Formats: sequence, C-alpha cells, structure tokens
Amino acid sequence: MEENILEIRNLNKAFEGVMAVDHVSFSVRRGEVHALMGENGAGKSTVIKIISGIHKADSGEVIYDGKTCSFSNALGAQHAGISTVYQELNMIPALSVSENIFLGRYPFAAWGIDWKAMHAAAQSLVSDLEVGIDVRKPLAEFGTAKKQIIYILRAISLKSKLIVMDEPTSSLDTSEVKMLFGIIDKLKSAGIAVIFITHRLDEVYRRCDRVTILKDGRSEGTYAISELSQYELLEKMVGRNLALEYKRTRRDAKGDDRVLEVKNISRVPYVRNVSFELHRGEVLGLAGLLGSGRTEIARIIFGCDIPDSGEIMVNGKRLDLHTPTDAVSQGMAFCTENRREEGIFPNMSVQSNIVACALSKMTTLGFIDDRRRREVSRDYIRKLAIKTSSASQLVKKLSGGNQQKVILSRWLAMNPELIILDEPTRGIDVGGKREIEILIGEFSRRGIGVLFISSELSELVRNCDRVIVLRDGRAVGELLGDDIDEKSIMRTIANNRQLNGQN
Amino acid sequence: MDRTEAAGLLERRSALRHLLGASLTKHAAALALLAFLLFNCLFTNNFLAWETFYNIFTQATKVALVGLGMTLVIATGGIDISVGSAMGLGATIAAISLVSGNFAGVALSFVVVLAFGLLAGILTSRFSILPLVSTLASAYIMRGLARGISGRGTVTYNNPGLTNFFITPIAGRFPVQFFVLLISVVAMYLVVNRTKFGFDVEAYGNNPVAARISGINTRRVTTICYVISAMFAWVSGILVMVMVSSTDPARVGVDMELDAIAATVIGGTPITGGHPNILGTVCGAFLLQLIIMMANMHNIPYAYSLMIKAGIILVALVFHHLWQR
Repeated sequence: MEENILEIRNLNKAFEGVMAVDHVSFSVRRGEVHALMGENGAGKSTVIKIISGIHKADSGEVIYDGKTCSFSNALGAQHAGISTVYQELNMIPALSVSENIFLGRYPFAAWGIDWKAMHAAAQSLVSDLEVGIDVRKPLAEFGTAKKQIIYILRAISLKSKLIVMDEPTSSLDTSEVKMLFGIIDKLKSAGIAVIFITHRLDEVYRRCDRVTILKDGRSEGTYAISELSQYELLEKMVGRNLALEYKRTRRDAKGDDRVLEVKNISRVPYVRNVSFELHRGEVLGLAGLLGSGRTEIARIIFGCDIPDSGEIMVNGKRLDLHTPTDAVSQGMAFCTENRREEGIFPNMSVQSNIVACALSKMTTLGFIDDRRRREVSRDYIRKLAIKTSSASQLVKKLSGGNQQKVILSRWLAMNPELIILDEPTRGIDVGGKREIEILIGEFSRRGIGVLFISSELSELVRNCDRVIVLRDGRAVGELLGDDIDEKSIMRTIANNRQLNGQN
Repeated sequence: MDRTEAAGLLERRSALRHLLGASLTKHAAALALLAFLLFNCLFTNNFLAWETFYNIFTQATKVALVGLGMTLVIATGGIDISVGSAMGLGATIAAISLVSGNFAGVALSFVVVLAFGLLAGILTSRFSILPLVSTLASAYIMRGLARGISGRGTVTYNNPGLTNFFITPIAGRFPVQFFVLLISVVAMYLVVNRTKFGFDVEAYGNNPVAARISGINTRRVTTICYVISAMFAWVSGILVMVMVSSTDPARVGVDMELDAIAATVIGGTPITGGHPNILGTVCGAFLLQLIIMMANMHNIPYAYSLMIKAGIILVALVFHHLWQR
C-alpha cells in the first residue's frame, strides 16, 4: 500500500489570466493531520476545490489512493473517498441526522425506506465516535460544531479516507474546538487523513503533523510541525520579498493635521478596543493575519458595519449616523478587498465605473455634465495607464490589475481626504503591484491620509510611515519609521500568539 | 504574421464583436418591431391604413407608459406587480370625483397612488421585503380599495369637455396619447441616461454592494423607482378612464403588470438588474400590441395570439441571455 493517500503534482489553475494556483505539489500521508496555510488569495481554496472536484485544474495531477483522478463534480470526489467539510455546510436542516448522513443512499426494504436500519446504522456511527447525538432529531436542532461532526459522520459512512476541513474552527468556541479535535484524533487512529485549513497558529501547533504553506498561488514547501518554529512559519507565509525595487521615502507625519481619529472601537468578537489616528499625507499600515480584525476595522470606519462602542472622528468632527453614504460625503474612500463582489459594476463601461463617486460633483439639477464626465474618465485612463480598448469598454472585460486601477480612479476622482486600501494588490501581477504602490506614494504627496491593509509584509514595509500590528482584534504593537521591517512585524504577531496559546 | 500582429487582430475582432453585440442587444426590440411592421405591410391586407396605426397607438400606449416605470424597477433587480391595481385605484378615485365634477379629487387619486408606491418602495428598501411580496401586498390593498369605495361596480361620469379633449386627435391625426407617451419617453430617456439618479439605478442594478460602498444612497434610489412606477401606472389608468368616461374597478389594469414586464424583458432590460432600456421597453410594448393586432387581422383567435406573445418573450429572453455572457 502506498504511503501517501493523496499526491498533488504540478497543479496549475488560472482565472482570467491570473494564476491562482501555480505549480503546486504536495502529498498527504495516510492518517495524518495536514495543515494548509496561507493568506487571502494564496490559493488554498482553489487547491481544495480542485481536490474536491468543484474546479478542474488547467494542468497537473491529483493522485488519490494510487490512482490519477479527475473528478467531474463534488459527488464524484465524495464517492471516491474525499469529503470536504465547508464553513457553510450543504445539509438539510429539516431532515433528521440519519437522513442527512445517508442522503441519497437511503436503505430500502420491500415496503419502502428502511427507517429502522437507517437509524441503527447512523447510531452505530455515532457510538463509534462517542459523541452524544440523537440521530432521530432534525439537524436544525444542533449547533455548528455538531453539524460539522454530523458531516464528518457522513464522510465516514462514505468510507472516506481523506477529509478536508475548510476553517472548521472559525466559528467555534473553545470547548467546541476541543470536541472537534477529539474527533480528529479518532479519525487519525482510524487511518483517515485530514487536510486542515485554519488561520490560528496555536491550532496548527496543537494538532497538526505537517503543514504545507501556500503563497501567491505557489507552494512554499511542506514541513513537519515539530521542525518549524512559529516565526519560520510566519516568515514563509507572509514574509518573502517579491523582487520589487520600489521603496517609498518615509515621512514623519505626526505633526500634521489629523484626518481620522479612532477611539476605542469594538465590534466583538472581531475588533476589541482599537484606537489610532491618521494624519494628512501619512501612510498607516494595518498588519496582522487574516481574521485579526484588519478588514473589520476598515468596514467600521467606513460605516459598512456599526461598532458596539467607540468613536470615529473625521477632521476633528465626531461622526454620527454612519453609513457609507455619509463616509463618502465626508471625503472618505474605501477600496475593498473583494474587487468583484464589492467594487466593480461589471456590465457598465470603464467610464461609468470611473466617475461613479465623482458624479455628484459634476451635476447641475441632477443632470450630468457629459463633457466633464468624458474628460475625467479620459484623464484617469491616461494618468493611471489603464489598459482598455476605449472608455466605453465594459469593465468586466479588463484584467484584474486594470479593474483595480479603475476602482482607484473612481475614488481619486472624488478628491478624498482619506483612503482605505484593503489588499489593493491582491490577485494582481508584479507589474501591476508596482504601479499601485507608486500610486500610494502619489496619494501621500497629495496630502491624502492612507490606511493600508495588506497580507504581504514586504508591501507594508515598502510603503508605510507607521504600522499598527493587530492580533485577534486587538492592537498589540506600533512600529514607526525605520523600525518597520518584516522581522519586527512578525515578531510582534508571533510573540503575542505564543502568549495567547498559553491561556 | 508575427505574434503581436495576430494578437492585435484578435483584439480588434473581439472589439468589433463586442460593439456589434452591444448595439444588437440594445436595439433588438426595435429591429424585431421593424421586421414585424415590414411583414405586415407586405402580407396583411388593409394594414397600411391610418386607423390601424391609430389603434395600435392608443392600445400600446397604456402598456408602454406602465412599462417605463416597470423598466426602472426591474433595472434595480426588483419587480412591481402592483401597477395594474394602481391603475384601477387611480382611475376609480378620479372617476368618482368627476361624477361630482371635483377635479381636486383627481389630484387626490394621484397622491394616493403615489403613496402606495412609496409604501412598496420603503418595505422593499428599508425592511428588505422581497419586491414580489411587497408589491403583491399593495396590489391587493389597492384593488380592494378600488372595489370598496366604488360601491357597486362601474363608475360612470359625464364630462363632455374632458372627453372631447382626449378623443379629438391633435392636428386631425395624432391621438392625444401619442403626445403623453412622447413626453414621458423623452423625460425618462433623459432621466436614465443623463442624470445621476439614472446612473445610480443602473449601478445599483449592476452591483448593489458596490453601489452602497460607492456612497450611493441605495435605499432612496430604489424607493424612488417604485414611486415613479406608481406615477406612470396612474397616468395610464387615467388615460384608460378618459377614453370611456368610466371606470370598472374590477377590470381596469387587470393583467397589466404582465404586459409591462413582458415589454421590459423584450426591450432588453436585464431581469436581474442593470441598464434600463427605455426605448427597448417602448418598442416591446408596441411589438406586443402589433402581434395581437396582426393575429386579429389574420383571423387567428385571441387564445392563439397569447401563445405567439409567449413565444416572442421566450425568444427575447434566450437572445438577451446569450448576448449578455
């Protein structure tokens, strides 16, 4: 028998020209718990989706149990023996636990469905794992953790030899995590391998045997957990420098006017008591792993989410009645991390996408000044070197990098005083990244306060005047000027992680 | 041919295809309308008579008017199935007032119908109730109100001045409806293509989340769309009333929402939200009426002309779906 249950060789997958997965290879041994780590856009979910039959790879091999596989859909993978537990589970709340476990495979007797046999089979699965679940109860009566376990039971009943868990612990509390880990131990002793995706370092160190790290769609290697320190892991995940020579000259903006002050904002459990200020022309970085609260803070400032408590002051004025509409009228701009879902108007022209926020400044009695509209969009297409066949081209036809430049143009055209950039270079090729970083320097020169969120530490180091380090929703450190380097950022995150692991 | 040259050619070809596709989807309804007109000119006896066009015009106008408002609502990704009842309620209140010669009551009917539009808009935008449900509710209320306040059925008034104004063609040829529609279409075309409000509607229909983050007051924009829809329903209802000097509260506007939706879909406004195609909707409304008329003149029973109508709607949907990918 092969040692590896799963072997991935040279997997490639591109979406609209951007490599999501780039020559990724790794293997999973029988009965091991294998962590898959990486920041947003590193390619984890794409790899998982290829393994579980949702996406088709452009090239490369997936070898499962000694056989090369190409599943045409998720069902094919499931029947072969690979089950995936997603964050949002595909189960039917109104049906009983047994029915959910045996969905599509009900045992039949001469008179119809053999309920007795089904419940008995489900009960024996439950007893094997020693979890207290009444199999006759409807699924809806159970919480997230139990639902995940029920899904795992389904996987076991399908004779799965590999179970993929996509951030199973993200919405569980401590005791539930413990329960799940107990189950994982039992799977392990039964020889079932687990691919475990998480952003919590302590979980990786507590339960996983090996880890594969992905970054920018590439594999950074597979390591035994016992031979890799937390610091080394972080370095591989967020540290490596892209060969970009550009570096912005830092400035000390402490003396300048404050554009934004954030006082003790909380939105439990994502953000806890965070305060900072942002000066005119300053580039302030928010560093921290995914789930550390960086995006959540941005959303609160912009009025997308309402905080539990705390104050936000813009230009020394306290903001009440906060919605994105208010934020924009106060001169705030927000380039979100999800370009497709929250940024572009796909079926509208490049021109329309550029002027969307500036329109109110080019209307009289509600009527748009068409000449100015054309001028402004032409201006930005030229200034930001947006590659498009014409201003009337639909924005969805543009590449990711050019779409991002369109969205940046949209915000620039409204003359903001403050811009929040959440992962502005995500999914963009190296050349595009460089152009966007140069733009950040341009914002600063124009006196715009920039709040810059990035998973890539080197990017923060290159561009920021000041960096605030976040961990589990709290600000745990601030770095200034030449103290900003990858090592000190990672040390700040890792130190606090280790402290956190003890309680 | 080297590589860059080939790439350039490919790019140009795809740009051309894009341009062709864009104008085709935009004007598909107009082209279909032209084709049907041509067919009828050639193969339908007595089609080329002023009366035929006059008839088509007066009939299609009520659908086209309601369709203008529907187009706006559908562009936001919503739907308004209360337009028929809004016509009925507006025309009923107006007719009752005209019985006693009270023109202020006509203004009241306008305000009442608009208020129901506002209600549906607020229910949809602020309380996140599905448009289908919120407008269904207001549809029932309005139809019920119309029948309730009219007492026993048809309300007939006598106002020769008003009637003569509406049934006398202008310049001896053009029905008054023609001008009402012309003004409405021009106004709506400008609103959609030249104002910030029109832009916001399209942006919201494209991507509601992005619209919100771009600072667009999405609640206000969507609410206004339902109010405008109610307004056009009222105008259409009044036009129906003045032609016959009476209102049957149980009949006026029945099934109108279906025709208006059909006209909008044929016109090329994406049912999931997006660019409101005003001229497309007008062409769609005329196309629907032309089919009924054509069937009629060829002695095809009404029941079958309904099926032809359905066929056209299906073809339109498939066509727009294919081009929009």
